[in-house]
Amino acid sequence: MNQLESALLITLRDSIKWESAVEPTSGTLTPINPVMPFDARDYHTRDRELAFRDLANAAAIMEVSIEVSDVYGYSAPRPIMQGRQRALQPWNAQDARTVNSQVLHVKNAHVPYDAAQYADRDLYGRDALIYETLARAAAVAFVNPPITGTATVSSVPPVTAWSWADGTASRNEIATALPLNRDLFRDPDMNLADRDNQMAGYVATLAQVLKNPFAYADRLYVQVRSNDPREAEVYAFGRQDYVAGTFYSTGDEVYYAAAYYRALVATSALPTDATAWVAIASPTQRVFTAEPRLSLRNRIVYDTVAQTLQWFRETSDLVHVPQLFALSIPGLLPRQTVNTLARLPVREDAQFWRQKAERLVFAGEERTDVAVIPYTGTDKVTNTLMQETGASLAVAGAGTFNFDIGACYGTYTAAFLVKPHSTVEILGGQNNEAVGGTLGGASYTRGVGSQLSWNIGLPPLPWTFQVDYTNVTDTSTGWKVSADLSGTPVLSEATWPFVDATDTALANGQLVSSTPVAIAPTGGNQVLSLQWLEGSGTLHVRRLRFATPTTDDNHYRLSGTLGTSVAMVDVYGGDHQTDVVVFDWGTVGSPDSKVRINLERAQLPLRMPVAHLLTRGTTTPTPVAAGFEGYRYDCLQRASRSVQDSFAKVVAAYGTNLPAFRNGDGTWDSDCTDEWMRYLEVYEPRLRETPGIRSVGPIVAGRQYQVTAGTVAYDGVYVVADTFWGTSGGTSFVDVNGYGTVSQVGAFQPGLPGHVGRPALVPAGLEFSLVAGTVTANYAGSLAVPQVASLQPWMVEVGAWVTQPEFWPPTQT
Amino acid sequence: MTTLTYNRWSQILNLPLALPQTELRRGRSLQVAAIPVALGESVEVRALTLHLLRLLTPGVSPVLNNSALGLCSVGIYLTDMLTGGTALVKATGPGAEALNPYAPAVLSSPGFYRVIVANNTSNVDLAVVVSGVATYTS
Repeated sequence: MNQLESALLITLRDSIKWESAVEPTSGTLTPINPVMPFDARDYHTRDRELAFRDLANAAAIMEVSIEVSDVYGYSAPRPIMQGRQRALQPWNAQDARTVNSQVLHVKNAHVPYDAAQYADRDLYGRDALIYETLARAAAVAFVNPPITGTATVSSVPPVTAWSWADGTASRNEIATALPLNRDLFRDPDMNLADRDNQMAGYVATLAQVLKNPFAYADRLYVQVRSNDPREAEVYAFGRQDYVAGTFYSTGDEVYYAAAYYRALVATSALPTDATAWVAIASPTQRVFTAEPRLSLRNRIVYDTVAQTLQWFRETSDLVHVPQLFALSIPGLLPRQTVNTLARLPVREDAQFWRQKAERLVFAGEERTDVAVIPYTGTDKVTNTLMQETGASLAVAGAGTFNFDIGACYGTYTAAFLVKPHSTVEILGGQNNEAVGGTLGGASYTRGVGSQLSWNIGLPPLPWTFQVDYTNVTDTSTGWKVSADLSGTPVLSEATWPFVDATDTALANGQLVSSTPVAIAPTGGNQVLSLQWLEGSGTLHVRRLRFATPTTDDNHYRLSGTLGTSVAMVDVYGGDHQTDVVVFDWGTVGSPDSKVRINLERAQLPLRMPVAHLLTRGTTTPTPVAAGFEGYRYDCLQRASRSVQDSFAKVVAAYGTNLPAFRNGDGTWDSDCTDEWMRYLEVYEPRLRETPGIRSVGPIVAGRQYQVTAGTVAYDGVYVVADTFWGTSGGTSFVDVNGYGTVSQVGAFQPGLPGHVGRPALVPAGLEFSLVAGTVTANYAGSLAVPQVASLQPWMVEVGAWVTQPEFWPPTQT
Repeated sequence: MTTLTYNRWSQILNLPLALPQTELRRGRSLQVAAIPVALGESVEVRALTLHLLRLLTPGVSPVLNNSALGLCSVGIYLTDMLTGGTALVKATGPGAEALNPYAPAVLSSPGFYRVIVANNTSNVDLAVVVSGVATYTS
């Protein structure tokens, strides 16, 4: 490629004439048999076929030139063509003599056959050389080269002496009517050589651009890899105007008042200050800038004199040592590389805008997720009234939520999803006798006379009590039972029928609800005992249900303790209404992460299905970012648009096969959200962040993963912060050092109580009923368009996803 | 650069959220405004400012009812709990505090949202002013 520079001596013409070019009918040049009688028409045809090969070269040049323009935004030269042509240069070894740049023209001493034997074959080889050189340059320069080489041209040396073949533009052709002399053959061949020279000139010019795009490009597509990675993004070439108040470094060049200046010293003075600036005829720096265009940052500077590249990220705490230009150069940090990608920018998805939003940080408070108990119905929660939906607090007393992350030192907040509820539902399996059964119930197999008991603590209100029961083995038509609440009879030899209207035994597993009976809890912890007196089969108690009339006076007073720090909550809550209570502690020093919630005052029991622990701190703002305060929100809008575009593609792709997403009764729950998100992921694979994936996977083809701990091997070896894409070839990775962990990369994370108010992704038309406490989807299928809205407590309950913290500016100024 | 046309302009409705200087008694809350959101509508709140003018009960160390809400707070609520506001501005001392206009609250689910300012102390009366705008964007 280097040797092509000599061809720059040629003045390029803006077009290549079609002339009489014709495509070889057999794929090879028309053969000449010297033993046969001389026929000038065969020689003429060969020249026309060689002219056609010049057009193929011109088409190849056009393809590469267009690619250069597309990738780098530089209007690379290209010849105007007079007709359609393929950018493909066939190769047949018998038509070439040697593949080099020399063309031996016939002289007076030659016979006509020499024109075919030497000149034509030289011209053929030269066409191949030009094409192959361009193809190889494109293969090196582009990720997706627009032309491919002729693999069989193995004789093309990687570096060739490139001479100016003796060529003259002249429209001469071999004809039977012309005298048979040297010029009959030489002049058309010299014209062909001239056409080759022109194509060689274009190729040489393109090679210059491909060798060093930084000297020509109007746009670079740059990706930073490994340490502190950045996704591929566009850096646009632009003039650097002087900005008052900016502190320029020595050597910086600016444009000011119709002239260019170079800083002699570090300065913020006006360029007219001769002690600080010197006027220059033209800039020696080509500056490419990415957004956000912070003053003197997020840019790449190419020094046209030193031929070096220097990268500036959004902070200026580290200075990048200028590197000799190359498509991949070392970055600021160990293992970090700055790569110029020779390909078209790809579609920018929500995850791209997430990492762009991350570039700017503004002053304010930030809250960071520390731990979550996504379902409090586990042994991490103790001393609460455990309901089917999770832990709850019903009477005065303290429950403990163990986040199980060890010691807590710092400033903490705990947020709990809560739901005052006039109904208490306890699974049968929560009994004191540890009798279990299907779906959380208790299968009562001990026989007649035995009993089950449950600890309950209900506020001193008028309650009703009923049981959902069924039979699970043999056949039964019902049971006779008694129940008492801490010694006070509740049921006395009551009959629980298990028959239909014709007194036929119901099918096993069919749930029946007993008739509600009134009870009067004392407000403290009590034991409800159930005695099975008569009946066959296996009595299965699925759940106990207690209900009390709705009350408006739902005043809750709670204290939360972490370590020795205490935080208070004093709120009112509506029956069935999903809400959030927040405990803010000051500085905490706790040897464990157990949050003790003490219910001091309540009316209705308070369900607490989700617990969330966060730390509070202050951000480290990006310096000198005034004027860009809206950048994160802008990025959020772009991410939202990307997700909406993806949904539109899903709708178009699935058509009438698109599910309704909502339940049959029009309600919406977390299963609906999960299905809806899975469809969004079809065209937006980097949607949901899934942390903590170990080697067992699953690694999904088309999704992106980032190493968060250890070293993993997949289609390469990756360390912390490295990313890789899932392929169809492997659903798991190799854990190299025993603790390799990856996260599926995504722009959204599960919404938690501490995220209320943050932007969330929800389908249009979701509505929360304050009376029933349920969520209704007003729209289904293609109308469930994703939109970004502030997260509300009830959205947490239906599993909504919120944007990653990188999109969040401080909420309060 | 986008252009706001008259046609688009005519579809944007701004709802003022305003409470003039008011004595807010200890432990009490006031509804400043209501924002009804119908199906298909979307409301954006970029401007919400709480100005705690002064503490009207001198010489008393404030006792907070909710540790997370400062001396007083203003928020947008669909439900009842003061700690569950979709947008929340709190003041921990005299002065003006504002919602970050670059982190607006967006309400797109149908409902009847309320803007409530609350005195979060059990022993101090406060003088507060609330101002803001809710914008119907569709």
